Amino acid sequence: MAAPIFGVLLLAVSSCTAPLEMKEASRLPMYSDVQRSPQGALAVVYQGFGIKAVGELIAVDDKRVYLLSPYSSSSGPRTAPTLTRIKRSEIEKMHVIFAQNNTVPMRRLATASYVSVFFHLFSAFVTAPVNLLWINGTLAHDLGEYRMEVSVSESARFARFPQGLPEGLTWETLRNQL
Amino acid sequence: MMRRIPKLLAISALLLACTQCTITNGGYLSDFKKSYANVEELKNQYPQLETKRATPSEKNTQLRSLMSAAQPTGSPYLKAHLKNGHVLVFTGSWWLDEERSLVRGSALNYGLDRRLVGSQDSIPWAEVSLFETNRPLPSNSALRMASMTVLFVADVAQGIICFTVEKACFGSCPTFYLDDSTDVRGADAEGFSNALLPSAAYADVDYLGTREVKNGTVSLTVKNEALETHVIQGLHLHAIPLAAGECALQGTNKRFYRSRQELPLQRATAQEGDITEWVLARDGRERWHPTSAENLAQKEMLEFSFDARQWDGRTPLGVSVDFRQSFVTTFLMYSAIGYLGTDYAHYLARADRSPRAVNPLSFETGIGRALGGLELEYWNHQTQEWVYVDRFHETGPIAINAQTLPLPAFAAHDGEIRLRMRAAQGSWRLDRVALSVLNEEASPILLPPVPSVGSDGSAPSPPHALAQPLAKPNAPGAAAARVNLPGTTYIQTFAGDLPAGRTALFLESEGYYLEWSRQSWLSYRDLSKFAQMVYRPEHYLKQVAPEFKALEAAMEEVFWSTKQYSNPLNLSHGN
Repeated sequence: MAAPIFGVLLLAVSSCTAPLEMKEASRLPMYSDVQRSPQGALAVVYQGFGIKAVGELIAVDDKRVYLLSPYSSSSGPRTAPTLTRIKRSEIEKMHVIFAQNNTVPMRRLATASYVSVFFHLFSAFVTAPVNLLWINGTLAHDLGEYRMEVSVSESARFARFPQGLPEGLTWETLRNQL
Repeated sequence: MMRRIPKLLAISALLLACTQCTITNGGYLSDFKKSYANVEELKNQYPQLETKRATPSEKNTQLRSLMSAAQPTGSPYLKAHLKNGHVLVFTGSWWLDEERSLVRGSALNYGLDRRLVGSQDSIPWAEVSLFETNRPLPSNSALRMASMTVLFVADVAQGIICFTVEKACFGSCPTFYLDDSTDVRGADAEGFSNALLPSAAYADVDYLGTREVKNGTVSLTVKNEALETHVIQGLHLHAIPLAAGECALQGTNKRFYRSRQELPLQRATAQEGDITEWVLARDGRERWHPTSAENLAQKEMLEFSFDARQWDGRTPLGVSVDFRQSFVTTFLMYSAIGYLGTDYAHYLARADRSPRAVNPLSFETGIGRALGGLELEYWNHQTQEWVYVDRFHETGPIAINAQTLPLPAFAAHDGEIRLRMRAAQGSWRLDRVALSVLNEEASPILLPPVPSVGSDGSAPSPPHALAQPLAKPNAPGAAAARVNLPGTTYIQTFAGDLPAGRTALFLESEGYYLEWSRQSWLSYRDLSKFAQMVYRPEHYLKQVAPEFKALEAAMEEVFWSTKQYSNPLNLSHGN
């Protein structure tokens, strides 16, 4: 009996520790609006040894990938952004997250399911862990994100500047204008 | 619900797997975004793209609402990434003006920082470094929503069932497990199910099974899996070492027998037809028929025909039946408690003091008598009539009882013996019906309990309680009884002078239990119905039949899903 309880607790705790990109992904446009969004996708760049960088994919050139973090929506408030350059040779893999889903109905259903467990009387001994596992399994991972693993070259088309850095702009000049 | 959980989890896992695969692999997303280095590339890709050599007229202007279907790019939007880093997003109609080399349309202009700069209605091709189209994205939450909906519907259904079928909540009496399995469906015995009061305590003997015994010791897992207080006043094992080809039987007359021959069952029939395959072997496949919607006491008849050609005609025979009750009695017992409402404890105390108090479920006087047991008859060919023998009866819907009813001496006719069983429809489940030759009476070896040990190795409480000899109800020995609250589990070992080898084991448990009422049951309080149960049980069983019938299908699911896995004391107040 101890093992299942431990598993459930572990799962519950793990679902509370959302990865870094989860928070930023919440600022992405909805999947229905992404077609007209002027911004780049959110890139998750894995550099090995557990190091990863997360930010808006600004551009990709022959040598580097440019990320702007934190991700800010074009219409929302912005905090002071940081432009980061990462050498392509240092990149192990890349994910792009370019839209988010409307998770409100799912979260409402999840809440309703949790509440309904209180009405299960003694069978809640069984149904509560099942609900916990089920809901966590459904909602905890990549919730509503449109996420793809892509090569560095492929990622360029998801950048704010898919054509590469605009003409006449260097990294130094660009960082002051973003 | 318990049975459905693996299926529900499997469905959920499948849905999740599909969802995760689709998303992480990018499958349908890979062609979501397309880029074109210049207008020529865009036109080459979509030759049917609407272009205009002159100023567009109204005729050539597509409304946005029409474009998602009509636009050959598959997108109502066009993004023009400019060489200066701005991006124009054409959100309405747009077209290519080849005469002036412009992209025309209603566009929003976003700056380098992607702040909105303004709007404009055209852009020269030469200023564009890249065109981009995005096809509409489908929602990726459909599978997740389906998964959540399945769970929600199941949760609501379970809630409704639990609130409307509360009387199905698990009740079990002490359960005993011989092997590693502690799944309540596989309980090997349940003790003294009829002892609802201290004064009603009695010793109950249950067949546990046949096992290879070593070192003269046998261990059982004892559990309280219900909202009940179990008072175990005595626990013993009766062991019968067996020779090859031999089995031991427990008689309804409190005797034990050795049997070396079983007469083949030729055919068994019931109202639904041939049931031979259901009752042929001890395989857990039970014959059961739903109750009548008019009368819970309505009887049904089952007939059995045995091949007696290999019987010597002299050795006594016994009808061996593996059976248990359905949930009719459980429902009725909880109904009785509900009808008493807040008077339940008072009634229990009064009934315990007074030998004249009526137990509504008594097999002798109350509903138990109206429902009856498994009443056995044999066909007397000489007198051409069915002759009543006796009845099987053992309370409890969990463990399967294996009992043998010795038959009086009679002769087979044409090598055939015909038996008939009369029982309340829907009240009993039959796993096996056999006709055994009772070769000799057996004297079992008594194995007393040794101090029990908790699952954590803790000392027994109270120490050596079950080392006491079987106590008479309320006798001084009962003071040493072991009281088990809900969620209790421990291992009880028995030891004695027992030769190693295949041994038939029978458990004798003595004691009583106190069924807990529930807060929500109090709303069922109806003393007039309780009076009907006691004084007019036949009438009551007709009245309550439709109510039970409506719940019957759900009862088994609910019953098994409400067993107590751990101590539920903290929850009991809320229910």
